[in-house]
Formats: sequence, structure tokens, C-alpha cells
Amino acid sequence: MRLTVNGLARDIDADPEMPLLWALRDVLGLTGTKFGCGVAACGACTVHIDGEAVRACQVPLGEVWGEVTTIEGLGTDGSLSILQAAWVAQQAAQCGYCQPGQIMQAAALLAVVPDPTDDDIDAAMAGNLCRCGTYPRIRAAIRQAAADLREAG
Amino acid sequence: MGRARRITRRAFLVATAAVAGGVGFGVWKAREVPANPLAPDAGVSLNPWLIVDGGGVTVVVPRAEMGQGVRTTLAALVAEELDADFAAIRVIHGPPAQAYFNGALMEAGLPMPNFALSDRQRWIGAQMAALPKVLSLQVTGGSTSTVDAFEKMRLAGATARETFKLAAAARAGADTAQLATENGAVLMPDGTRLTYVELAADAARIEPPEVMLRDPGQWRLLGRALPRTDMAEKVTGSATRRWRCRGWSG
Ligand code: FES
Ligand code: FES
Repeated sequence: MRLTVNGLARDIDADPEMPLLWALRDVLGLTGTKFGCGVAACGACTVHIDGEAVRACQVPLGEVWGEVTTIEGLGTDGSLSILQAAWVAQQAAQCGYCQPGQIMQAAALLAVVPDPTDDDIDAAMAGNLCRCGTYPRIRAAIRQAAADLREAG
Repeated sequence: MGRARRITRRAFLVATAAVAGGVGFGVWKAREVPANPLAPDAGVSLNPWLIVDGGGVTVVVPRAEMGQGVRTTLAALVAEELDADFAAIRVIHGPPAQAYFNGALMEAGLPMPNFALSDRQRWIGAQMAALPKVLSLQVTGGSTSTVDAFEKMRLAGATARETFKLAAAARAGADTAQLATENGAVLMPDGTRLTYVELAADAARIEPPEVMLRDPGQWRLLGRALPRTDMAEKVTGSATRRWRCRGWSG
């Protein structure tokens, strides 16, 4: 099977029924995307398919309909995206386990709603759970990222 | 009656010998200073918590990061006394080794709150503290990481700082009392800066001196909110998780 992941064509030799999350982590070694629940209840596995935020634990490999972007495609430790830099500025993460999923969900929101209200943020982020309870800092990071992105044009 | 006494006495003797042997061994094992497990390919390690190489200062935080911020707090303990540039410090987990035993584990294990401990209970706790060392228990848990590291990681920073001063003094023919330290460097009497990186090779050949810890009133880092050293890796997803075992350097 051939997928485009973070802009690169990748050949994956796996069962088409395998959830995309497994293929990303175990076959491609992209372990930035996390496994939380496996049943679409937590959002830790959120990635983009053609820019839309999806739960990678719920999409079988054979049904991936477009280009996949994972947290690794957003920025790296030495070169953070504006969104990730806002996360650092707000010191949003505690254990950090939920954060790649949170960030991918927030990226999809900001792509559609450049200046979200708190209600927009809460509605878009409702499916992404954080056991550490970092919600207020996540919200602050999204607001800062929205402002930074507008400034950057 | 006579027989019972004999048996009792013999049992007593045997028991005493076993206890004495156990204590003797325990004291010897507990006093032995664990070896420094670090042998960096590049740069030098002055003690089990510190590596200085061309890239600067790396602190070993031998406890698992699970959201409690241990990679920041414990790194700050070393940086505070070392006068390192905290923003530039790198943190690694290090190898499993006896040097990283958790001495606070057993004291925390006593079945009563800390404030309610009697002197005798504290004494028992202090004796039991040797156990994790003898058994090399490198455990993270029970809110013990900072308690265990509070003195030893500050001492690691302080002894390294004084060793760097000895190395700088030897180079310049100066007295250590004339030297200060700041942001990862020794300040010489004439105002020049000798960085720890420059001094590392010399410092590694010097026997670390006995040091005193600073008064908390002088602290610049401890007791303040610090930017977390692990924030970037957590927002890129590259942070190593406990169940993903790769070599200790990776
Ligand atoms: S792992 Fe996919 S939603 Fe929890
Ligand atoms: S930061 Fe720990 S689960 Fe969100």
C-alpha cells in the first residue's frame, strides 16, 4: 500500500484492516502520535488526512483517502511550528502524552477559524482529553498561536 | 531446664553472629561510594550527574519524567550550585546504575506521615535509607525524587563548580578566593571568562574538594517557576516514553 505521509510517499506492507495509528507507530516508526484508548474516546491519536483532523485509531489503512500529516510533519525539536512555539511559550504540557493529538486538533481548527472564540476552541477541542488537566493552558496556547499566525500572515 | 538454656544460649550466639555479619556487611556496602557509571565518548564527566563536552553542560536526571517536571527540578538543583546557564542545559536520563539509587524511598515508606515521626522512627528511616543503595534501587515514585536529590544533586553542582575554579586558578596562577562563577564560566580577576567547556579536561584530573552548599537566600533558580526543559520534545512528540526502551543515550 502506498500512502503519502508528511509529504513523503511511503510503501507500507501491512493488512489493509490495520488501523492507521498502528501503521504510523509500528511500521513507519512515527511514534509522535500516541495511542490512548483505541476507541475514538480520547483524541491522543489525532492526525490529519487532507487537512482534516481524524482519529488514526479508527481509520483502517485501506481506507485512508488522502495525504496524512502527523505531529512530525508539523515541526521538529529544532524548528518548531508557530503552533508548537505557542505551546512552549504557554508551557502547556504537563506529562505531554495528549499534546501531539491536541496540537493536531488545534491546527485543523485554526486552518478553518483563524480567530476562534473560547467557545469555538472548547467545541473543537472537546474530544481531546487531557488527564493532566492542562485545558486552560491549551486554550491560552491556541489563542496565542491564532494571534501569532495572523501576524505572520 | 539446663538443656533449654543451652539451646537458647546457642541460638542466641548464632543469631548474634548472623546479625553482626549482616551489619558489618551492610555498613561496608552502604559507605562505599558508588562508581560513576558515565564514560562519555566526548567530553568529561566530573560525577554521575554531570557531563561537560563541546556542546556545554549536560545533567543526568536518573528519574522517570511523568509530568511531575523532574527533568526540570532536578536539573535546576545541579545548575543552581554550578552556576550553569539554565536555558542552555541539556538533560539526559543516563544509564541504570547504583549511583542513582533512591535514598528517600525507605524513609517515605514508613507507615506514618513525616510530621508525626518520632526521633526513633526517623533514626530507623535513616538506617533504612541505606537499603536502596545496597540494592541499587533506582526507583521513581512516592514523591521521593526531589527529597532524594535535594542534597546530592546540589552537591554534584557545587563540587563541580569548585573543581572548575581549581582548574582555572591553576591555569592563571591565581587563588580560588579571587574567582567567581557565572553562566557556565569562571570569571578571572582580570575579568576574562574561562568557560566550563574550556576547563573540563583540566577539571577531570583534579580531586573534587569538600564543599558547603549555598544558603537558600542566594538561590537564583530554586523556588521559582522555571521553563520546563522537556517542553519542546513534548510538543513535537519526540519525548522518549518509559515503555519505549532505546539505548540510554537515545
Ligand atoms: S487512541 Fe484514538 S481516540 Fe484514543
Ligand atoms: S499533558 Fe498529560 S495528558 Fe495532557
